[in-house]
Amino acid sequence: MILVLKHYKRGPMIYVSHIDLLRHFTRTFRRAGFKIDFSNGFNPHMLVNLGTPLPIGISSSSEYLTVSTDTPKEEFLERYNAVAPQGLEGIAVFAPTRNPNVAGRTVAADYSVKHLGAEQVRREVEGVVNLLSLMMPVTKKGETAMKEVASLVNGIRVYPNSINLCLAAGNTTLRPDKFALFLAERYGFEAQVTDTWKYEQYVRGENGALLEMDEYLTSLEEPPTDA
Amino acid sequence: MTFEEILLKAEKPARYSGGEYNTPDMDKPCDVRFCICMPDLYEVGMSNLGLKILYHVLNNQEGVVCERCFAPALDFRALLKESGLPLASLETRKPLRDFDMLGFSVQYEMLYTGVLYVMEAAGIPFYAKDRDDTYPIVCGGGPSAINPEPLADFFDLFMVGEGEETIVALTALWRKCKAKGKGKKEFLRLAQKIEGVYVPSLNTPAHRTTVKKAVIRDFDACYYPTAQLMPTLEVVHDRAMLELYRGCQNGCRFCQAGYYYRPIRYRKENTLKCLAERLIRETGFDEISLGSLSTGDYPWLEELLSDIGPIAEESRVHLALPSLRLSSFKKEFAENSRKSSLTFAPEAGTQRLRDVINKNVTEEEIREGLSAAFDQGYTSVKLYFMLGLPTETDEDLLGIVELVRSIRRLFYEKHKGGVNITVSCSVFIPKPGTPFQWEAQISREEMARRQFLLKDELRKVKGASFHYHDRETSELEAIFARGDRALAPLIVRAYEKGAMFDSWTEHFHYEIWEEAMAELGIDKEKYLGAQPLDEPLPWEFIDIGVSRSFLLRERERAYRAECTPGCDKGCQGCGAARFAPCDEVKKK
Ligand code: SF4
Repeated sequence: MILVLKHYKRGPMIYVSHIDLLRHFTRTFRRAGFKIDFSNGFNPHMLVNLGTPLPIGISSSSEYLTVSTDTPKEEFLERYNAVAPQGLEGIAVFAPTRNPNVAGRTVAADYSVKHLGAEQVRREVEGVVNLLSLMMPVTKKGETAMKEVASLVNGIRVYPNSINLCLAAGNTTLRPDKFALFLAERYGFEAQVTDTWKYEQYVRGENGALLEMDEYLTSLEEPPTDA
Repeated sequence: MTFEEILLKAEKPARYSGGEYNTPDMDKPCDVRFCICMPDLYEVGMSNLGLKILYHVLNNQEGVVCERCFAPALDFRALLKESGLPLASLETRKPLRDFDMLGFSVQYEMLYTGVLYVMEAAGIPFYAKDRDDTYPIVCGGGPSAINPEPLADFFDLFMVGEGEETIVALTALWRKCKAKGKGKKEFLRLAQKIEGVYVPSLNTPAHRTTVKKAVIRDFDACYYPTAQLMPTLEVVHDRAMLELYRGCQNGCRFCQAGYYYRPIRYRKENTLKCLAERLIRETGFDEISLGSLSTGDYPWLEELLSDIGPIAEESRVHLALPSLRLSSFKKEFAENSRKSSLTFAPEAGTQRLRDVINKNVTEEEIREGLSAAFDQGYTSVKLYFMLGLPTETDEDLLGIVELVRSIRRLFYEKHKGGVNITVSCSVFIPKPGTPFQWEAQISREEMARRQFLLKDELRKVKGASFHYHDRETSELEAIFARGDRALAPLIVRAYEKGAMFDSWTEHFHYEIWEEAMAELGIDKEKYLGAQPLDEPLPWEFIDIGVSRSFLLRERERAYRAECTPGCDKGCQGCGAARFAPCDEVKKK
C-alpha cells in the first residue's frame, strides 16, 4: 500500500540537506515500528521517496513523502508524530490508490518571504508577473550568468509583512530566497530571506490550471464507502 | 550578520544547527551548565562513544545540563569571526565562555591544536593561569589523558580513566562550591581528592602525587545510554553503538588501549540483549555495532548473536562486528557481516616479530580465517601492519610481502577471478602505558627507506595495493605521545603560526612545527629516542593499574620474542585488578 505523508520541514531541520533528510525518515519509521517495504537486491533499502528538494534554509508546511507500507493509514500519523524529530512533524496522510509521483508531477509552490519596505513599491513588484522577459543573475559554482525567469513566476502579492510568491518548483525550480533578493535589489526594499516559508505545492490539473497537492492526492484516494 | 544568516552561508549548516532527536531537556532547572567540547568536526566528534555516554550521564543528573560544541570548519570559523560572534554551544547557542565547565575530549595527539582552535574561537585564554574566576573551569579527558603533560598548562583539571563517575562527582562538587560561594581555587583543591582527577597547577613535576585513573567497578550495572543522539547529517560512524566490554585480554605490546582500559569487565549477555532491543527502538539506526577492543573475544558472542540476531533481523537492522581478530573469525560471524571487504591486522610480517609484539596469531590461523572468508565469497582483503616495530629487520618487511603472496595463492586455490589485497602500513609510535613506552621511534629517513622497500616489493604482486602513513604525522604524534610540559609553548607557537586540523593531511604542515621547535630550542630527539629505564617517565605519576614491573617484564619477553598468553588462559598479573575486579581473574 502506498501512503503519502504531508509534513513540515522547519526549525533546526531547515538546515538538513535533501540527501541527509531521507535518513531522518527511515530512522523515524523504524522507531515507530512501521513495516515499510524494502527493495530487493544486494543492498536492500527502505522504499521511501522524498518529494521535490527544498533548498536549505527554507521552512515548509507543505512537504510530501511517499512510502510503501502495511501500516494502516489511520494509525500512521499518530505513531509517526510520537517519534518524529523536532521540525519534521507530520500534518496529514493520504492513501492514493496508485503511485502519485509527487516529485515528478510538482510544478509550482507558494512561498512567503518577510520584507521591509516593499509596500512602497507594491505596484512594480506585483507587476513583475506580467513581464514577458525578466533576466535574473544566477550564480553557479562561482560563475554568474543571466537567466530568463519570466516564465517561472506564476504570481506575486505584496502584503504588509510578507511577499507571497508562486514560483516554478519541481523539474525547473526558481529559488524563492534568491528571487526575493533579486526583487529587493531591483526595487529597493529589504527581503529577510532567513524567514522564508513554503506553504503550498501544486501539480498541473487536468484543465491545465494549478491544482493543490492535497486536492490532487485526495482525488487519487478510494472514495469513502459510507457516502 | 545574525547566526541564522551565517548558517545559510556555511558549507554544511546542519553541523551547527542542533535539534537532534533524543536531545534531552535543555530547559530543566539547573545550576551547573557543562559543555562537552570536541576539538574536531561534527561528523567526527559525533561518532565518539565517550561523548554519547558522558553527555547523557550528565543530563540525567538533577540540576545539571550538558551541551555540546564541535570545532567549526574553517569556513564557519571565518564567518563567526566576520560577524564578531563567539563560538557557542549547539543546543542553546550559549557562548562557551558563559558555561560553568567545559570538558574537552582529546582523542589523540593530533587534536592538540584543535583544543586551542576551539578555545580561541570561544574567546578563552589558552593557559589556565591566565583565566580568572569569570572563565569556565576547563577540563580535559579522553584517551590522551594517559599522558596529560603536553596539555597540562591549558587545563584546570584532567579526568583520567573512565569518566562516568568522575564527571558526576565533579559537577556535584562545583554545585556545592557555587552554592557556598567558593571559587575555582577552592574547587580545584577539593577536586583533587576525586578519583581520576589530576589538577596540574597543584600537582607539578617538582611536587608529584600519584593520580589513580578512574575505573568503573560494576561495569555491567553501569548506565549506558540507549536513546542516543541522532545526528543531523551523515557522520563517520553513523550507527548505534553497543559496548560489550572494557579492557582487552590480548596484550599486544604496542597497544595503549589494551592496557589503559584494563581490568577486563564484561557486560552480561542478557544486559546487552536488553540494551540492543532498546537501542533499536529508541534510535531507529539501521545498524548496531557491537563494539569493544576485540569483539571476537567476547566470551558469549555466539549466544549474544543468536539472541539479538532475530530482533535485529525483524527490524531490518544490520549487526556490525568491528575489531574481529583473525583467530576469532569463524564462519558463523562472518556470515553476519556484509560481504564487502574483510579487514584484519596481523601487524607484522613474520612469526618472530608477531611474537615480539605479542600479536597472538599464527600464519596457520591467518590462513584458516581467510580460507573461511574466501569460501563465503569475499574477494577483497584489507591487511593492517605496523612498520618500525622494535627489533624489526628487512626480513620482517619481506615477510609482509610473502604473506600477501601466500594469501593470493590461497585465493586462487579456491577461485578464479581477481582478489584485491590492500596493505595498509602505519608507523610504530611508542605509547605511554605500554611495554614499548621506553622504545625509540625510527627516524624519518629510515621510515622512508622501509616504506619504499615495501612499496617496490608489493608492486610485483598482482592485485596488491599499498598505503602507508605520513612520516611527519607519525613523528609528531610520537613527540606528543611521550611529551612533557615543555611542549605546551610549542603547541601554542605552532598554532599561532597556522597549524590546525593537523589530523587532516591536507592541513598538516610539518615545516610549521619544525620552525616552532627551532625557535623554542626544543630537541625532538629527547622525545623520539629510547627513554631511560631507571628514571620515572613524565607520565608515570598516572597510575593506570598496570604496573611498571609488569610492563618491564613484558618488554624483556618482547626482546626474547616470547609470547605472553591471553588473559583467557590465565591471569598474567598485570596489576590492573588492584583497581577493580577483573572478570578474567574471577572466571577462574
Ligand atoms: S588482571 Fe590478570 S586477567 Fe585481568 S587484565 Fe590483568 S593480567 Fe589479564
